[in-house]
Amino acid sequence: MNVRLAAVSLMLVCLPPAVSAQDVRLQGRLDARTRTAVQQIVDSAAASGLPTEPLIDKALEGASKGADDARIVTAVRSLARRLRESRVALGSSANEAELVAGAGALSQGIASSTLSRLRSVRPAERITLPLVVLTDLIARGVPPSTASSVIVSLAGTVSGSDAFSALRRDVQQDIVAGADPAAAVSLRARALLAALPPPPGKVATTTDLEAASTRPPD
Amino acid sequence: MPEEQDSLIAEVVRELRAQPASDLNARVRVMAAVLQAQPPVRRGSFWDWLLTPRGIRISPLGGLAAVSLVAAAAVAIASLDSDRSADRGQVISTTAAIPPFQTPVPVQFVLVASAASRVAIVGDFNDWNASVTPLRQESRAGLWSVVVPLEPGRHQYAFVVDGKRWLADPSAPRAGDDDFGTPSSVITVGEKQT
Repeated sequence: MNVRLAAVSLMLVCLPPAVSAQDVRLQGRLDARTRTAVQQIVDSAAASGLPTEPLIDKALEGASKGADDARIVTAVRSLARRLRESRVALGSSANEAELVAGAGALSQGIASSTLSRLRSVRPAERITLPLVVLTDLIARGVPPSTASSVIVSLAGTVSGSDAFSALRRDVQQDIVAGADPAAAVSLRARALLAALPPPPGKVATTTDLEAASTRPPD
Repeated sequence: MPEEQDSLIAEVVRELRAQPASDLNARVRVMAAVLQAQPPVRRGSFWDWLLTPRGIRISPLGGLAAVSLVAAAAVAIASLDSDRSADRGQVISTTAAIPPFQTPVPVQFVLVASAASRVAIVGDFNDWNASVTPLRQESRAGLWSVVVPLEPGRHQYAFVVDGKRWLADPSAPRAGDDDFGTPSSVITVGEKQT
């Protein structure tokens, strides 16, 4: 009996973590078949090292909004695909926040090559905030190409995150005041560049940003 | 007087040093009994064996060999664990990069819905559950409000009016990735680079 007990205990300890239970939050919100389909996507993402919380959240959002089962599964699968694409574009060093922010930018029509460029101009810094501001600008009505060019140029010119916070705040104020979103972001970006000292070794001019704001990202 | 004392002391010492007469047979019997006495047989369990103190004799060379074996095993285990960590590098680096503690920030949400009898807010911070976070009616003019502690980051949310009508926050940007045909809004809390 003791031997059996020890064997069972050993098996429990040695079970691989991949054998996971269903997320309890999905129970009661999705029917069994949809829940299983969503859980398979979640497990696959977890096995790939991708964040799973956004996937669960997407399924819950769909359930709360009364979406049909197929639409929920499609939305979760699409998000998983964007998370994978985000990791490919941002590299294996990207953390969870960056991957989620990258997936959000991709959902707004940003090209994955823009994510890669953003990473390449800031290889040693987290780019969560630039990605979030990029996504917010597009949500505010700034054309994706203009927003991408400005954010990439700004990321390669200034260090830290203050400039991005200021850009988002100022552009939002301008849009609320009635300004054209594209014009507002170009104007505010030029003003930021003129006010902020560039990091050592990097010199950008207002002409660079002006050209960036009118140039398609790729 | 001193001489009398000396002789008395000498007498006492002599008496004390003198061995009492003993029975030789008795000595033999006692020693035989001692030799025949068996130590108590331990019919104990594995634990008795395990817990019984023992002396271990080992040569210096053997000791060095044992220490070397233990060190080699420790290095091998550490190397194995390192390999496993590398396999899960994405997860490990992700976990390490996340700040250990993020203080929730109280955020006030306001909606003007004069005809509403009840309003709730749903979002990724409450599992999109309309029964978790109701708004309170602040005035008869239809001003509804609630304060929600949110962790730093980007959040999506919406208002649910009277349990059935979904509204995006008119004062916040729309979420672009609406996959379900119902608009949501976006709020970004904090400006940390995470």
